[in-house]
Amino acid sequence: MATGFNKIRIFNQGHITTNKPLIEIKNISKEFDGEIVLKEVDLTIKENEFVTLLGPSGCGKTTILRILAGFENPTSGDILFEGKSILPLAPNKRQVNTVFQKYALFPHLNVFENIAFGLRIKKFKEPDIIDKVKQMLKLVKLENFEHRSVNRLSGGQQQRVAIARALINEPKILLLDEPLAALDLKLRQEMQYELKEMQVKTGITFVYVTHDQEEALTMSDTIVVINNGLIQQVGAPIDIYNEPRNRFVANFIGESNIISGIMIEDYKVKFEAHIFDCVDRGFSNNEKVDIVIRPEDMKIIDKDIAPMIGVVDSIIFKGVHYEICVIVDGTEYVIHTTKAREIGDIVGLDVEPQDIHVMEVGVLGNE
Amino acid sequence: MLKKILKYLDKHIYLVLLAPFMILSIIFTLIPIINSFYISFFDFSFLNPSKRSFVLLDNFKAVLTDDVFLTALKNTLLFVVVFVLAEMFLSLIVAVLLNAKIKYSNLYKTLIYLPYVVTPIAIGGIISQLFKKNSSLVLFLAKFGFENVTWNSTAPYAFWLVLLIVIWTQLGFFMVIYISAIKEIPEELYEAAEIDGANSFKKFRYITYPLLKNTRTLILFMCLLVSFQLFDLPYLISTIGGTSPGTPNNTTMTLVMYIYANAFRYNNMGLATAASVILFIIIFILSFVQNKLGERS
Ligand SMILES: Nc1ncnc2c1ncn2[C@@H]1O[C@H](COP(=O)(O)OP(=O)(O)O)[C@@H](O)[C@H]1O
Ligand SMILES: [Mg+2]
Repeated sequence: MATGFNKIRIFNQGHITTNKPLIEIKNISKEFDGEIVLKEVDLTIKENEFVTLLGPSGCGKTTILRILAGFENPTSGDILFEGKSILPLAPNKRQVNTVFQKYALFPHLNVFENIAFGLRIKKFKEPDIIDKVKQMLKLVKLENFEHRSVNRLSGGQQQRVAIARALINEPKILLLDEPLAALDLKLRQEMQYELKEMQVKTGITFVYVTHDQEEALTMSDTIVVINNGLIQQVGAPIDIYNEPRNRFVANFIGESNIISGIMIEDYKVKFEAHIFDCVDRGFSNNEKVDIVIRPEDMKIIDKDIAPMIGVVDSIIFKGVHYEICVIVDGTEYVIHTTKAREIGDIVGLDVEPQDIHVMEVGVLGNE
Repeated sequence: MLKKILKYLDKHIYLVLLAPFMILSIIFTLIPIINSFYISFFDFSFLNPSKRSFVLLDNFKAVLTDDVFLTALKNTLLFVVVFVLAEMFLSLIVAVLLNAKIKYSNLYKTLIYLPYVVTPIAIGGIISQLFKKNSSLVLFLAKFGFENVTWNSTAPYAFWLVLLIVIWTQLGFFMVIYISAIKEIPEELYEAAEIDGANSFKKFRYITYPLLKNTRTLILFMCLLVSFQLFDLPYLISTIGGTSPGTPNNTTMTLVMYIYANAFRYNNMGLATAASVILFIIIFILSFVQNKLGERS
């Protein structure tokens, strides 16, 4: 296993989703005034899964959520819920609830009434409402806050109310649109943990939107990387991290060295004038490829036996490790190591075969 | 010394900035108010300004026992109640409806707002044309049993005609205030309610209406102030065709018309100033309450 995971906390090891598909997004496209925002998105979401839509701002994440919630209609394609199309259904007839990007709490209602809102609309009886709201307050750790005005809550607390207000309606699926984006780092990390805990406890399928790759890696069962309305890669966090399918994914998920090379034959790839052993196969001989090497997988070794030799260009102390930048024949490599070097040092570099990730050049999603 | 003055001015620059407005409002508002309080204790006439005698509360006694004043007060109060209720209800309904995504909503908004910006003189002119003898509207209404009615000078129609026209002319203004307040409500609140199954009425009932509370208070007080100070339209309408203000039989007489008529028509400054002091006190209390409420929210 890659050594780079010391920085990334994984909460969900061992949490297993059932394999039943809950939602099937079938070939969804969306245009706004002729501008294509989503292109033939295909995605299956399973029961109890924590799915994260990850991508840069403007890539179409919110649009996907709004289509799932029923606030937008796709230009083409279909969405199946347990095998049946939900496109004709109004938002309240879908088993979906949403936690909005800016919380969208009702400012004139206190915490209790905000959470009780959905039940009141559905005309629940008062004792049932009190019961369920109490349960929710406990779930989101806001006991004794019921009479507080929501305007006098911190960002984190408002977020909790928003989650409780959505969960009280017992949706099968909860959509969360960058719910933690407005919180500071420490609170965000706490809430990541709690959200994951809530999801496991309630067994509800979460579709979570973020542009923060660390958040995605931390919380998800499955990550869907999106760029320009196209799905780039779908997979478990570890697979996305270790086996990015293209340059965009490699770049977006953590720092990477992305190098152009040539696949000489199966298990042999050439870059920096050296032929390396690797574990990839299935390319044509002498095909041009992109190669990803994580900074923590680059090894600094004795230059007399090294396949690559370079000069140290910069060094930054990062706490657990040093980030060293080495120039090899004009190409810059970022390396994480625990041993300091001096600027100007000549060093040798090597990579283990399993740490060399070969990708097709220029692959975009859906291809 | 000069430095000291400059330093003082620098620190109290707001005085300099406020000065022009303060001076004007002292000359044209504060002094006349104090002056009318003062005059209200005298027997005073424009025809013979130097000869005036101190009569203490005689003017107030005269006003409060004047049938015309009591009629004007009663008219004004009825006017205020109906105007406030109608305007608050109608402007909210119109604003909510026109804020929905309906065709030509901007055109409707403009049409409703238009009478508010048209000068009352023009409105009065339009009314006099519409309701003059044997106009098509009058003939049309005659078919419904309103034969031989001179709408602007027959009781009780004249009062309700004035009321209707004032409500119509002011509606656009309050509608615009409501619309801008409604636009401030974030769309996500409605979406959140929609997910929970709220229909249009429930969204109005549970989100729009409660969130417009402050706007409602504002509009309530603006309606009160407008209707207590009502003058131009009832005056114009009741004097169409040369009749006297408040025609017929003072049934359209408002407080401000009473003040105006006594001061400038009947040369009865004592009554006019005493009545204006009473109106001032009413308005002052209203503004005071409004300010207090404003501070609280
Ligand atoms: N209602 C809309 N009308 C027109 N364009 C829209 C609308 N909603 C979103 N877009 C466009 O669609 C693209 C994707 O938006 P969005 O889904 O909000 O991205 P993300 O949530 O990933 O940041 C953006 O270019 C945005 O400008
Ligand atoms: Mg977004």
